[in-house]
Amino acid sequence: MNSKHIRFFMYKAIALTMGTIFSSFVMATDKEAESEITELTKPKSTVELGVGGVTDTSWKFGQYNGLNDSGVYGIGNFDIRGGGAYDSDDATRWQVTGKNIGLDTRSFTGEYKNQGNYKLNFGYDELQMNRNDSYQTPYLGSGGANLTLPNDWLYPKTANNMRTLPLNDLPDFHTVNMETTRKKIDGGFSYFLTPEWEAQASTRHEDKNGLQALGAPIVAARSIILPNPISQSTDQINASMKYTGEKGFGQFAYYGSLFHNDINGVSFQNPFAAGQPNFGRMSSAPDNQFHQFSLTSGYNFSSDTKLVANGSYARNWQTQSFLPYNTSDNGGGVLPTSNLNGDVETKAANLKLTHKVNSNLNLASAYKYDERENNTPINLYNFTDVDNPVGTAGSLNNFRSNTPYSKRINQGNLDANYSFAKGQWLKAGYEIQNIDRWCNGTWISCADTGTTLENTGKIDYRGSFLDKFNSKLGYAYSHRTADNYNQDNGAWASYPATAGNMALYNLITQSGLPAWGAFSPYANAPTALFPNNNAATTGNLANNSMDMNGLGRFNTSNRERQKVHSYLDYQVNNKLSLGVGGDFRYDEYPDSSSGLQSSRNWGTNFDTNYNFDEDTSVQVFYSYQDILSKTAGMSYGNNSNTSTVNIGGVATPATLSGGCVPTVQAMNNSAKTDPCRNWFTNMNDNIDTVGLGVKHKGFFGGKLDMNGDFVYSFARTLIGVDGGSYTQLTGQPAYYYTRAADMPTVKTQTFQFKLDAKYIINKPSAIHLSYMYQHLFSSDYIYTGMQAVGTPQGVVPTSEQSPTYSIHAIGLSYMYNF
Amino acid sequence: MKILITIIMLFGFITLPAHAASVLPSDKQSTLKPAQAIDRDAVCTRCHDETENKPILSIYQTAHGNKADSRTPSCQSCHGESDAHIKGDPQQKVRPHPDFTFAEKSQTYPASPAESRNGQCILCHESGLRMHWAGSQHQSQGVACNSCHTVHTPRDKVLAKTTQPDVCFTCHKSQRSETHLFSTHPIQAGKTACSDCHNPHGSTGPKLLIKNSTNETCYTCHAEKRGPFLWEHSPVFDDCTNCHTPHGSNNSPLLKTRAPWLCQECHTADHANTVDSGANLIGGDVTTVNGNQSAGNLNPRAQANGRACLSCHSMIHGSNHPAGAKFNR
Repeated sequence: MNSKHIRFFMYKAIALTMGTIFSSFVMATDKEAESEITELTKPKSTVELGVGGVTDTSWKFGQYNGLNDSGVYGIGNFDIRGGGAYDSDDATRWQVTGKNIGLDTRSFTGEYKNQGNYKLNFGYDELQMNRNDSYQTPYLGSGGANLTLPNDWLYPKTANNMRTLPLNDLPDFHTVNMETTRKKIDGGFSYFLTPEWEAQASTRHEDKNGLQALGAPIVAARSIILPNPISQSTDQINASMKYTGEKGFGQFAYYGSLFHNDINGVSFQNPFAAGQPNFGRMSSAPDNQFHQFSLTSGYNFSSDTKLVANGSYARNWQTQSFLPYNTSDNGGGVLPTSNLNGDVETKAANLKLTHKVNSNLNLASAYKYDERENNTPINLYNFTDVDNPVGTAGSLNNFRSNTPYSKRINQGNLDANYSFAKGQWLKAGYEIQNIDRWCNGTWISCADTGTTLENTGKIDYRGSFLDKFNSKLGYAYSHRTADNYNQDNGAWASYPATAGNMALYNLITQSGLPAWGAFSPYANAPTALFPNNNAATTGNLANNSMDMNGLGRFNTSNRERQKVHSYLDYQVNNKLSLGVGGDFRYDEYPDSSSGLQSSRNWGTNFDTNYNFDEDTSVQVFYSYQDILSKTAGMSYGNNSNTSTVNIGGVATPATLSGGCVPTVQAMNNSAKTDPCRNWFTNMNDNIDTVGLGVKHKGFFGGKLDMNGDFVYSFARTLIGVDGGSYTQLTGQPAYYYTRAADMPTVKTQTFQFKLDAKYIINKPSAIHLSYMYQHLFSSDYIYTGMQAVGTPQGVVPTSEQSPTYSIHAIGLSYMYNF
Repeated sequence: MKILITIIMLFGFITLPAHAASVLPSDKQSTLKPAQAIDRDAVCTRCHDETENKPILSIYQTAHGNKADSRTPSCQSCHGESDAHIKGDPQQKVRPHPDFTFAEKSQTYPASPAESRNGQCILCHESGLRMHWAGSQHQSQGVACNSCHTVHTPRDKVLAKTTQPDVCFTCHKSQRSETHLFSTHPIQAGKTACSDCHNPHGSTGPKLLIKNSTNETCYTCHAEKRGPFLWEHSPVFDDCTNCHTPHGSNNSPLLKTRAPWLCQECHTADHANTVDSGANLIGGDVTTVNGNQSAGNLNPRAQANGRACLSCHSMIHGSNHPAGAKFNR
């Protein structure tokens, strides 16, 4: 072999070696790439198992998350996916998931589909709502529909004052956990009959069981909070046939909802006094059904002009058997009918036409019709209040007819969206809404106003500029008018149409007199009807149930509304973004001299995001919200028109201090005209929320991802009361005008810190650590006001506590990905 | 009735066989076999491959990547044929942008206008939940489908109950803070999603609610309040939001204002006419006159303390008891 040959073989060997190395490299790179492609394109499955713990017990901490009890719980989550590969001929895909398996908030889902042909799915979901774990009751039989008192129960010394509850009764109070659990199971399918036609159906069954607090009055002005049993189910059905074509689409659908209540009512022993009534009975929500058919069509006249129309018709009924009028008197009389035979028809239609005139101008017009017509028959019911036997002292025979309310909305909208420069849009809109309210079959209108008409004008600016800013500023003004407003219609319509009632109604309507008694400038009211200018004595109107003239119920009265919405987002660079926004809404009821006068709700938000790099980011936000409602009223009373009374042991003429009138006699004479009886409240909610979120991926060489969130929320409800009342001081022979005090501030303060860390052991395995600390302080007299000392007069204490806690929850789990 | 006839006629018109014959534009219905469809995608994926920072190829894990379904789009179905982008321009450092670009924060290729992006999605997704998209609040405010959806990832945050609210809160910031208040729906707990009540793609109801009205929407979970009841409370059947604020409140249960003032916004008769003082409530002031406590304030009024009016008028959503006209039975 000569050197030439040697060189040749050497070159060949080198070439072969290089070639082998290169092809090995290429093959390795190809395999690596293939592996990465598989990683990206193959559906991922995950199973997570572990253990967690909660340091303390609190219903509020665990209100919805299943972590209400301290101790250890299991962590179980899975998401398993499978089916044909993306590039195969197999369009099958399936997925099963489970979440929070170890908690009372567990859920499971399953789906199997042959994409483009059919799909089957099922689901199961639990949700425990913890309502209170400090509630106490003396009743035996919690959870059932018959609540009885212990044999050793002693009645309070003064029946309407629970501060006189005998000490011997206190041991009878025991804690009952108030909670309800919803369990849902659902299933459904969809099937493509052709590429254009798809049939879908689904059903869901939900059970709701547990206990919920319910106020139950018995005898006048006395009440006890019951552990009300809940045992209900709801079935919902959806079915539809859909069509999708080149020029449009259509859908014919059915929705059914069937509600069933296992409990018709709950009876409870009278805790205030022996004798009649020994028991009271609260009703429960009646079974009902709702069935709706709808048809929706959309047609594209062109890519620029589209019409969508929708119509639906529904019937809703309930025929639950009535309970008797009361628990004694063999039911207290004959009912006019054994059940309501309630029947409501709902009809709705929507038309929407959109047209793009050119690239700068879009127009949209819409019409909406929505009617709820209540065809329930009207009957006259004769009953005593709160289970009082007929004819007993203090019982009042009521004669009332039901007033089945109906409502019809007609609404039209026109919007024009105009781009006056690149990325700059101006939108102007107009809306008119007419609402009719009525009752079929009542002798007068049951609605405060038969018709309200509201006109709304809107203008919005929306724009982007300098490639860095996005902004919006919008303003809307609405003016609503109510036709022939009469605040007493609802109550009047429920009284029987006797000659006396009709005559009185006509008199009051024509004269403007209030039914609860005349006052200036109506001082010369017919004395036969209004003795001493006090409430009408005719028939069933003698109970002073009419509202004040000038009351405007806020949902139906004249209203001016203004709304502003704005934001400005600034993308400083590719790392930093800032945002600021604000919302303002102000409602004023200019013709309402009592009731809600105005409400205002404004808020502002600041947000910032900083992305250090693709793996690390920080987000900070702050929100402030201020909600204010102003309400007015007058603590009117009866005019006595007499100077000889000896009131409360105080010989007349007695003087008054601090009020608008100088003597007790003057006070009695001016019970409806004394400005000191006017009252006003300002209810103000202030809410601060601060949030901080930090994310980082890739600690320890890409093995550890961490995510931390902190949220602080502080809400205050401040209720200022301006007004007062005339009272006699304890043990003092004098009357004073006592100014009302503001309500205690209701505070809720929450700190929450969450940390989520995932450490990747190897490709399929990871350790997951989750930690949460939450601190809540709340002071709310809904709870704190219900103590044995300080309970509302006449209401049995429940000793509920306003929740306050500091709780740590930690979880450690193993995740397997495949 | 006229409206109903119009709707039926429209429905009949669009489903006429003549139209059915020309159903689905060619770009909605592919005749390509999966392998051919992959080859068509390869025009894009030969560059936009597994090395991309944003995982482009993971779209094949989603319904949009299931090539055995003839409706499945190709890259070009959404991004356009993008010839200029594919050919490139030797004079330019960066290739011309694709016909349709979606990434809202991209510095290289700014996103196409929302209307254009949405147009690409609506080509296939106009029916079903998107039936009322045209002219809807989000559409008219320039919201794009991909402002909320991430199409290339197998787990789209907005489609999962636990992560969806964060997507919505990107814009709806007052609602974000309201979900941290004392009384809420289980939104933070991940058991209620925004889409349980709202259809962000447009609806026939107010505030993008999933049903025709607020009440119909609420009854999907609270069917016991539907009735009809013997004794109806007029603001209840009128609109649940007359009294409730659904995203959160400092006043339980989800009340706009607190009883008794909530009630006194409408009721001024009988015992609802009285001023309610906070005197002598736990945590409140002790009212005195000249150092003496007034008799009327020894015990807090039942109407102001605890559950206030609802201690007695607890069937406030309606009563079916024949003696329940005052919602106390």
